[in-house]
Amino acid sequence: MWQKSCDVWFVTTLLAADNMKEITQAIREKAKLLLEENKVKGVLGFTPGTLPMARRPILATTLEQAERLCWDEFCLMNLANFIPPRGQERIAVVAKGCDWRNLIVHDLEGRIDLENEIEVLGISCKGMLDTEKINQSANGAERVVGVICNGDEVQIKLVDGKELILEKDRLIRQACRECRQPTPDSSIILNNSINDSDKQKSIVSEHAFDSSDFLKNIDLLQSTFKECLMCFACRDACPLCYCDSCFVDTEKSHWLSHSSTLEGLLDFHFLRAHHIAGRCTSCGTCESACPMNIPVRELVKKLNHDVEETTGYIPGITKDMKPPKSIFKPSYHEHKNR
Amino acid sequence: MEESVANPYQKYPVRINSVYNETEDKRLKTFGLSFVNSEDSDYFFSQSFQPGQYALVWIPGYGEIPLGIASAPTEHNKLVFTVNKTGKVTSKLHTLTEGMLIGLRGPLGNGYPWEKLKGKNIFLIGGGCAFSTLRSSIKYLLSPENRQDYNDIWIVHGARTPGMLLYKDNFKEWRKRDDVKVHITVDSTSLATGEYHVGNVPFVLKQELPTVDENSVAIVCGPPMMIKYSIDPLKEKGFLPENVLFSLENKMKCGIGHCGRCSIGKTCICTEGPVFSMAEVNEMPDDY
Amino acid sequence: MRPYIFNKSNLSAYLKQLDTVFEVWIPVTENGITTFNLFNKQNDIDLGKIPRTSVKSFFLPQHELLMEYSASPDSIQLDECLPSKKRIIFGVKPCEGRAVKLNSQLLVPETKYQKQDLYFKANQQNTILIAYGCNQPGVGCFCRSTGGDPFGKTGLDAIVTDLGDRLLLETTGTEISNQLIPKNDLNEEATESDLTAAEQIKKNACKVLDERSEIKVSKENIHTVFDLEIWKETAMRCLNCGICTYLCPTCSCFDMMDYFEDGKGSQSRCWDSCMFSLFTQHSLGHNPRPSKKERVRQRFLHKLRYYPEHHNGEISCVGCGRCVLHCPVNIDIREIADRLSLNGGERG
Repeated sequence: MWQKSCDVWFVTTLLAADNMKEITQAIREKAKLLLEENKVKGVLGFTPGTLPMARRPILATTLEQAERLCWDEFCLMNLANFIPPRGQERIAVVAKGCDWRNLIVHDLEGRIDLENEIEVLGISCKGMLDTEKINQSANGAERVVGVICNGDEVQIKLVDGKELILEKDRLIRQACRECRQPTPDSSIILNNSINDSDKQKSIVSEHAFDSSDFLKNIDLLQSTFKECLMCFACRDACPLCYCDSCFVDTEKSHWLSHSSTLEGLLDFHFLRAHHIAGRCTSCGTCESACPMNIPVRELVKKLNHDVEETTGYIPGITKDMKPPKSIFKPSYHEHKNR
Repeated sequence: MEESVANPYQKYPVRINSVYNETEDKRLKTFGLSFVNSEDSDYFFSQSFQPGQYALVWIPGYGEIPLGIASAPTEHNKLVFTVNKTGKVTSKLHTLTEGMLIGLRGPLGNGYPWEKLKGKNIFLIGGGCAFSTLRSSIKYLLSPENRQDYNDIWIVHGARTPGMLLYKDNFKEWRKRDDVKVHITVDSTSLATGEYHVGNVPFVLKQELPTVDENSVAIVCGPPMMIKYSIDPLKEKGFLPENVLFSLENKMKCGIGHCGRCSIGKTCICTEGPVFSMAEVNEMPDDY
Repeated sequence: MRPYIFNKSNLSAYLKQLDTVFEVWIPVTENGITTFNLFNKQNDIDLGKIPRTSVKSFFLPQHELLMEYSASPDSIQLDECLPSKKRIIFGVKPCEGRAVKLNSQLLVPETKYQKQDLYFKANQQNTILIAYGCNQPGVGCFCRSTGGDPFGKTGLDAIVTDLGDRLLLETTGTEISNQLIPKNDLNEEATESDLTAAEQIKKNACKVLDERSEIKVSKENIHTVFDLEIWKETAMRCLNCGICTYLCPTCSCFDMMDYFEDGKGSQSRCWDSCMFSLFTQHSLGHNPRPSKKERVRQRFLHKLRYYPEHHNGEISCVGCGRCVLHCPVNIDIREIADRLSLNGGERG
């Protein structure tokens, strides 16, 4: 039976979660408490999947489901993406820094009511691992049978029985390296916060898109986006792409041709980048979801940088100001021209 | 040598001969078309074209849309379509004028089962743009070569107002005949001429239709609400589920069962349909 | 006829031999992603990995021209753009050959009453597949559960078995396979012991896969299957992106579109996905599959229920595992098939 083999996988993945046992335990206990006391309808978190590095988002509504919540270095998806819009029953969300930042943007934009409808179970996050990097070291995603994180090392079991030991630090997601707020400001934090000095360490990598005339570099654009399948996973995984009717999905006006010519691909990526510029929290979920390893986030990063320089607004961190795109002032323009 | 197979995406050029505004809201236009090449015409009519089938009408640069064929095979070499202005292609079609060229492929789909219906009483019930395949059916049934094959024929046609009724010239003709019973109804009217019933289609079905046996078949085409509320009156009058025929609509692109979007469960509407009996529809999962 | 055998170091010589007659495509890894590229001196063949995208794009390209035309108010001239390029894809997975066959059953049916897709048919006639057998099935692989085989020959023109230092090449007897015979120095027949070694490798691979159980087609009433709790559960986390359908070698749904400028235009088609809301959206606004739940259900039931009902019980999945490996939220077709086949469909 598959179920049986799936169970075997569930066990392996739980082992992998061992090093974060304490956080996992804390999540489960808190979740059960909240459910028992009827304070929330469900707890949005992660549960192990059928592959060593697969963690599934789940809305745990029963104690049994709460007992299967987990936490480790593979909780890649941004849970803010799975929160129903405001006006629903109160739920709890397990949130690392980037999930939190998206909750803040959602709240500022009015999509959710963070204060009254969401209970945040904060987790101070040291960074998630880049599964694509692990897959590449293993010579293919299909060859990874098990992954165990031990301190600074990541032990990878391969399908041929061999083992690989990799340095954990080198496997951390680029978006996590650049993280500007790994710990939520929520009242509940389930683990020991990593200290402030760690916070400052965000290393912003340089990317070819940083150059101001990258748009003229057709070769660069071609090589970056040519493998894009137009599967729209970047959009669908992004918590901020929550429009009811996306420009991609309008047939009558036909903003976008669904053909995979370079023009079509660039139309999509540029339009999307502009829609989330000054809103994107650089959580990196888009890159984690992309099946073709395209650095989707880099395009937005450039635009975000411009917004921050012009208005001082940092998405997800600035709370006392409306998002600049919803309150555009002519002075922003002057500032830019100075 | 392998026999060469026709490319199903090949289209025939057709010319617009007439454009007629059917309704007062100007959203429904009827187009008369003729084939540019006589061999295309021969091929089209040789494919045992039957009322109830549809064709994909193509406007260069805009795309294709499935449209029920409103003309009958008995109206030789003439094609008629009634088009509701809804999307990109139909909006463009509404701007086209006499003499212009467009493309067409078909006939597609199953059509109504005319062989099986021989000898039966036929009730054609419809409203709105979907009446087009019923026009085709009525023309077919009332043609001299076919009329004797079928028993009683009833027509029920409904619209919101008198100005929204379709095919007024055709109806004038049909009403003059004594071998067909015609009931026209409008939801409301300020002119009580006695020409129409006042009330919706289900109401007229209840009031005017006789009780029937298993030898009577109803063909129902119209907006979903009309269909939904016509089912009960038809059942009450004694129509069996296998004797109530619907013409289903879904989004279609290829018209040949390949592109995947029009299916309801395992049933492909564009090739196995669009005509299904109520008994068949009841078997389908709730995916429409 | 015995299979041929040659040293691994001679592989590029063999590819060069093929390259003189056909266009040769091989799996190449670039930026960590393996895809099929044109064979040339610069790129290294990367055998054994499951290429990220399947060979589907050679048979049903993501974007394919159907017709070119010139149109004016008084004339329409249409030209069909049937593909004609002969090519070899070397190093495909055996499951992909089966996928081509499954798609062919749908798009190029042999019954007289169904229409044939001449574009797919031409691609099929022009494309030669040489597979590289799977010595070591991956964690997402389940071809044996779907009726396939890690060394199966369905839909292939030849298959290569990796004996470590040497490669064993078996042609499958298709019309073109004579042209795949290694020439000159490379033309060496395998010995009895080579064949025994190959047999052992195949057995080992099958053994691993046979521990993964068969996927059965549920016979439960369709209305019951429609109401299963699993659709709601799965839809909760499904992103409704197109990864599974676009990476899938058997998903073949497409959209059609027209381009037109200055009297000249074209009609083409491109991949579409049942995961997208626009896929079924009527122009009047009604959508038969309005939410993620209906769309997720459609994808799995199409593969595991509707397709088999039309094609002698064969499911429309070859067990390549791409959707399993690359779904960002771990929606696993094996798990869903399992829940569906449990006594025909359980509730909750």
